[in-house]
Amino acid sequence: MKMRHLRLTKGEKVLYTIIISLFSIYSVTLIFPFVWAFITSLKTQQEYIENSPFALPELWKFVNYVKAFDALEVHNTKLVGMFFNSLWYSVGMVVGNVFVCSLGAYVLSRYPFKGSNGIYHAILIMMLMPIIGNGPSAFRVYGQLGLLNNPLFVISNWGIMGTNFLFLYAFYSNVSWAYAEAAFIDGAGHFKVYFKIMFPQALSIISALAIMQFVGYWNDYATPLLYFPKLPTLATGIYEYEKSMIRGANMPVYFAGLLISVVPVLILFFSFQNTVMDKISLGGLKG
Amino acid sequence: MKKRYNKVGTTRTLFIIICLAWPLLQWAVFYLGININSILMAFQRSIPGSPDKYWTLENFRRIFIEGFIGEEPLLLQATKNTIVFFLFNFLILSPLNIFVGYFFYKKIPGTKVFRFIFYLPAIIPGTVMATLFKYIISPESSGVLATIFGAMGVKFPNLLGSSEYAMKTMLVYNAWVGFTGFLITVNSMRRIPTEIIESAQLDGITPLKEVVFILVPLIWPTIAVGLLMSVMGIFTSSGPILFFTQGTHGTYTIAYWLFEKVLTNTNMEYAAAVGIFYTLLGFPLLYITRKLSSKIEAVEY
Repeated sequence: MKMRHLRLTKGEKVLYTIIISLFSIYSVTLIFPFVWAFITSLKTQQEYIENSPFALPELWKFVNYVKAFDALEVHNTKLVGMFFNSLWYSVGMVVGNVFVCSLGAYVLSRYPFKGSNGIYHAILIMMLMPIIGNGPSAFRVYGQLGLLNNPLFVISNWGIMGTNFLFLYAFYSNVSWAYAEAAFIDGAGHFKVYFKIMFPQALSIISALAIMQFVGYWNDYATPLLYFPKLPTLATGIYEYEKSMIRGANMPVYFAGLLISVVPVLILFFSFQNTVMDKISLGGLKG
Repeated sequence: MKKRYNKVGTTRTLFIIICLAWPLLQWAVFYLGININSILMAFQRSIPGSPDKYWTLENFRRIFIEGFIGEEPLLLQATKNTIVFFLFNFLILSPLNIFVGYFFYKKIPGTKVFRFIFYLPAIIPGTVMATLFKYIISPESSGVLATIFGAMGVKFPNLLGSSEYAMKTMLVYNAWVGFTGFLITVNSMRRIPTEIIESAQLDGITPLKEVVFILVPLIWPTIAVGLLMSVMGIFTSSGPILFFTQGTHGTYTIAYWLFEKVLTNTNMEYAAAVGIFYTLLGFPLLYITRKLSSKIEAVEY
């Protein structure tokens, strides 16, 4: 039901004007650095050093964007390589996790057995009591398993702990069992019922979870830096390149690379803006 | 009697085993294995120049001798800074996010555009946001703020290069990128029946009272979960320190200190002990938060 708009009082009009002004100023502070970076990315190195940061480039050097693909290199990986590293990391972490969580949540919520409740509660308790500082141990275990600097690292995330599991457990617990029952009567097996009936119903919530997590992993720098530094992603590559830059490095080209790294995630966000914006909440996800 | 297909049968048992085998193995290796190893590491020390280790309580002794009362008590500094970041987020940013969410809930003119812009820091990589911020506040001639201040005849300070400004600058950065939490509050507010809000408005309620006395109690479960999650993450979210100062100029936090130990592969056993120390410190903190937040009863609607 839509809320009726009551007439604003004079005080509310003043308040709204102040708020809109404050929101506009804050918005400008968020947008300005990107405009500045864009203008800077079109300058020559000499212009960057000698001219004011507010000065426009004499010649708009869009070629810097082409150069960035070649110039930004970390651990023998160029921008395109970093893009692919970000891609396998994000897709691998998300798809495996969401699939395992979905199957695990379905079984634990719909196939009660001795211990199923115990597993569910154990997951809840473990999530509520985070273990801090197990990074050194994780580093050694991953090393012993040969997962350091290895794309197979993503399997470490394919488990049933985390918010994905809780959302999906709540979903499967409440979804109607009638279609599944009818399919069983028609002779369908357990896997068929899951993949043909239950999974498609959960697809809306799964896609929302997957998109939100994808963005998180795409932007993640801590995990890639610690566990696969030799396979730089866009997030870690940009950081490492900047760290290794010597004085006099071509800054406009660097800024071009910086802006290129934002494009994939912005496209994803534009495409699924409503899914992300409308479904995100802490109490649960709207199905 | 209706046959319950998901209650009996060998195929059912087989299905359960197949579906749970991998998650249980994953849990055994990557949760149980890692955490047990972490506890063991905390009680070990490497013999220099040898792969051998010996059992000791030395790592825990170091926490107090070096970390809290030594010449350079980094853990004390890190604990203080962690608390500062937490209180800043909890006491300033979280309430502000509720108010921002309120104005979006009220659909003030431009809501769609503002909502999109305000959420950008959650979408754009932290590496990029932090890098741009760093260049904007750079004291060099290419820095944007340095140029503006320079035009006014004021020398712009090196904000990230001095103990006086570094922590404050990072708090400002946190605030700059910290309004993405509005989305959770505005989506919670949207679930409130409009009748409740309309009747309050007809009674002439002011916006401040509407937020404090109507909306906050109604979305309290969301706020409580958010609070619990921020307490859970108090020692694990390292913020922008890596990009800005790498812990120099008095800016270590617990999370960054631990992160740095793994990144540089140094003092790993000591770091494991520090991790256990803060894990144990975190449990009562979580318990108190849960107790306090549950004291405020959620309003059902």
